[in-house]
Amino acid sequence: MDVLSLRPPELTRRDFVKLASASLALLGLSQTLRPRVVKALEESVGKTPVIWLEGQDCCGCTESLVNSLEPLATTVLLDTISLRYHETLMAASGHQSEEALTKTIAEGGYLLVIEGSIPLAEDGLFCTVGGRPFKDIVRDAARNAAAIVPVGSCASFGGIPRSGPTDAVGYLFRGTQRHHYFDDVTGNKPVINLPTCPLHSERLVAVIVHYLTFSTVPPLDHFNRPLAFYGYNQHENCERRGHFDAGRFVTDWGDPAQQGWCLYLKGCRGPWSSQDCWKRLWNNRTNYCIQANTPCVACSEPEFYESFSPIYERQFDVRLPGVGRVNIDKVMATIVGVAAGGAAIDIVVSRLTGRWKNGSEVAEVKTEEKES
Amino acid sequence: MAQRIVIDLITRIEGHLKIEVEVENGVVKDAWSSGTMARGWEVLLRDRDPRDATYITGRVCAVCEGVHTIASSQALDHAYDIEIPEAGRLMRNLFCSGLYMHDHCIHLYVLSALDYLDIMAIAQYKGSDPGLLAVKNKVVGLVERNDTAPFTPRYTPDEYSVNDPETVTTLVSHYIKSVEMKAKSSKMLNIICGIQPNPATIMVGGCTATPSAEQLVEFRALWEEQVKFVNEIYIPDVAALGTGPLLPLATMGLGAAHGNYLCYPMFPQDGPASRDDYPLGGSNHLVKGGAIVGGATNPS
Repeated sequence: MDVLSLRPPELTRRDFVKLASASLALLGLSQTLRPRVVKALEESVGKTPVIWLEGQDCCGCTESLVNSLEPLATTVLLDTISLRYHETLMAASGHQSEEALTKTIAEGGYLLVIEGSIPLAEDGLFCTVGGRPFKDIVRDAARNAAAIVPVGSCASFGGIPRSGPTDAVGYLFRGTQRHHYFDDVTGNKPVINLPTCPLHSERLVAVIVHYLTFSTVPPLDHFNRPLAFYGYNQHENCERRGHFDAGRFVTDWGDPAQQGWCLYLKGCRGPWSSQDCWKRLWNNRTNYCIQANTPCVACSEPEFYESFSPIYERQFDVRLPGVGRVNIDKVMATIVGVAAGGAAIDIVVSRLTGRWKNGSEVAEVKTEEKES
Repeated sequence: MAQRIVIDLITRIEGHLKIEVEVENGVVKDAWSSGTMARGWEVLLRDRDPRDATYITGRVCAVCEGVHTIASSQALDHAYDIEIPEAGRLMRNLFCSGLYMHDHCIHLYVLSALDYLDIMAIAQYKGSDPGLLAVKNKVVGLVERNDTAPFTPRYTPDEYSVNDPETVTTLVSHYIKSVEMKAKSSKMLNIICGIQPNPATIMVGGCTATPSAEQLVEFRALWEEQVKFVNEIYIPDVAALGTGPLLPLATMGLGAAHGNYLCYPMFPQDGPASRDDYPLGGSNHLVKGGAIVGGATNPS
């Protein structure tokens, strides 16, 4: 074959510079780091191998990655990483795809991306690939990985499938609880959770480039989520916050007068949700749930979805400092801005300090948590 | 002596599929297909607030995403006996039609094409089209670096594979373009959905999103780009493949199984469908519903 005598692809440097700039912006890092990032990308002889496993997934996180326009998904998939195994995108099937997986695992040093939850019930038989339980495949792939990135709510915390009968868990967490099931193969490897349903493509691209450049992971919170993306509270930053403070709540989506009002009474979990959707937006800076007039379901949180069902019902009463628990219907009539802000902070702080989870006086969970 | 061939897993679909085939003297004697992943969605939904269903069922699959949300919204509209407002009907129709466009393209290029193309034929491309040369350079670059994932490994191309360098290079350039068009389609649909894939705004009673005039102008521009891609690239590709290199496969008449087909009415016009319309009719729908069972149309 005369392939080897042909020219290598051009434009690579320009592509690298674009990718570097975009990634730094996504992570909120200084553009002065750009030369270093470009250098790292250029010098990565052989692209970073990636194994992308799909368990109890809907393919939404893959779709989300493919939806990336800046950088283009094809640039990431063909120029930045070497996608050795991906059930939805790879050409091979059957024994060939299995061989590709085995070979890459044997070589080691790859980035392991996990999409979808991992069922542990019935010895893992609710998800098998090539006749093997998915949990065993995850275990094998994790053993030789350089870093592990569970993407989406399912792979991070169990997500929606956690509410089903298959004991579906995330890689490290079953809801808010560490389950230690994969601890022996995880060792000291970095695990970066990128929850939300589905994954936000920018968050994954930025983590990959950060890893290629610095060989480290960005600072994480106690649920292994990068603070750069999950360090902000939705409610504190919501564009509809003024309406919350003023007690103007959407009660009827069909009423034009209520357009743009706070969605708290429609079940918005903004006060419990930590992410940067409100400034990052979705699908290449187009829109996000609250801007599209639908409540935040806090899909970035480990409690999603089990503890937040029913989705479109207000679930918690807020407590105002010094007033005790107050029914939100009364709050609507009496609330003043500063006090309401304090209530929201109170709720969030309670959750973070563990009081909320244990059924404290601050807020109560209607549905029983499956946290056993 | 029967030989059993097992392919587990089938890639480039959503979900986990295993196919077993029993072959005797070159003829398929029997075959089995099994889904090897279950989440228990039906069990999960039992005893929940019915309104959760639109959100949850939409996440059954994110490739043909949103149609499950539409279906469960319709079921709930029906159950609550709700006539959805005009805006809700229009938004759902816009969403469905946008999805139809990009879903067909993704199915052809990203999910199916690699089964039919000998992608390495690109190296033999001798033309001078700059766009196609860029594609050739990209693929050849992968080969030079000895790293052609995810295009390899693959099954060895056979006599049915398309291996004309010009055709393959063109189709791979359309593969790359279709990924970009899919991203743009999601950007477009996100104006209605709030988040893509897996829409959040479509629910019982209609759709919560109320895009501004500015957003609708953006929607229209993105829409026209999609229509252009479908009319000028996708449809000619389907016609060219179906009447050209893939005609031998097509004329073998494979894949019909029992020959039973079902089509639900879609895109209600001039107000939502009446209750009686839902099962199969769709008197005021752009796409009428119906069934073909054993060769007979709409048997009672």
